[in-house]
Amino acid sequence: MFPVLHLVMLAVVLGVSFITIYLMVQERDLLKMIVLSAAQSTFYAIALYILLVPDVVLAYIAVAVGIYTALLMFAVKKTERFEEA
Amino acid sequence: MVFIIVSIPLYIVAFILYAVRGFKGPTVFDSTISIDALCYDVSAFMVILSVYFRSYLLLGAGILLALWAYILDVVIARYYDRFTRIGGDGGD
Amino acid sequence: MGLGGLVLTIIGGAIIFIGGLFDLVAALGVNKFPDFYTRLHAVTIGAIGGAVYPIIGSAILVFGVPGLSLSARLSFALPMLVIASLILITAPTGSHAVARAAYRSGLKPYRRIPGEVKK
Repeated sequence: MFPVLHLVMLAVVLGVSFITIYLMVQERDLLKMIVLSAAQSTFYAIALYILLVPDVVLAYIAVAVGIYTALLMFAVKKTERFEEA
Repeated sequence: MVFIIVSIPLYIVAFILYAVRGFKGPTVFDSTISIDALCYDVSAFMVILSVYFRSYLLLGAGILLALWAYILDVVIARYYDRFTRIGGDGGD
Repeated sequence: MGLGGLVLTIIGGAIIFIGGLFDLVAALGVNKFPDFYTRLHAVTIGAIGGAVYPIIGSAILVFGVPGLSLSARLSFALPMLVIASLILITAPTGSHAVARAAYRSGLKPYRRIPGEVKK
C-alpha cells in the first residue's frame, strides 16, 4: 500500500514545481530563467525519487540540472540577455 | 524511524522557503545561491529517504545531485567572469 | 542489537533532527537578510549544517536499525561518507565562485542609511 505521507510529499513537491513552471514561462531575464529551470528539475527529481525510480533520476539530474543549463548559457551568450517585451 | 518521520516536514518547509527566495531574488546571484543550497539539501534528503526505504541502491542519486549543483554555480560564475566587463551592470 | 543499537539510533536520529533545524533556520535567514553578501552567510550554514551533518547522522543511524546484515550496513555507510566529503569540498568552492563573480560585476553591498525606517 502507498502511505499517506508519500502522497502529501508528492502533492507539495509537484505543486511547487507547477508554480516554478509558470514563473519560468513569464520571465523576461533569460539567465534567471535558466536558474529557475534548474530549480524545477530539482523538485521533479524529488518526485521521481519518492516514486522509487532511481535509474530515471540518474539520467534526469545529469541532463536537466547540468548539461541543459550549460547549453542554454552558451545560447544566451550568442544572443541578448533580456527579452524584448 | 520515528526520528526520520518527525524531521521530514522540517526539510519540506525549508525547501519551500529556499524556493521562495529563488523565485523573487532581486539579482541572479541570489537565485543561484538559493537554488544551490536547495540542491545540496535535496541530496541530504535523498540519503535520509534511502534509510527510510531501506535500500542502498537509491544512494547514487545523492552523489550525482551534489556534483551537478556545483556545475550550476560554476556556469553562472563563468558567464559573469568571461562575458561581462568588470564593474559593469551590477548584476541586475 | 540490544542497548548499543538503541544508543546508536538515538544519536543518529538526534543529529538528523538537528540538521533539519539548521536547514529551517538557514531558509528563514535567506528570506530575512537584506543583501546578497549577508544571504551568502545563511546559505553556507544551510549547505554545511543542513546537508553534511544529517548525512553523517544517518551513517550512524544505519548501524542501529534492526534487521540488516553487516555488509548491508557497510553498503549504506561508505557511500554516505563519500557524499558528505563531496559536499564538504564543493559547497564552499561554489559559493566563493559566485561571490567573486558578484563582486567583480560591481554589486554594491547593503548600507543602512541613518534615520531610515527598517522594512
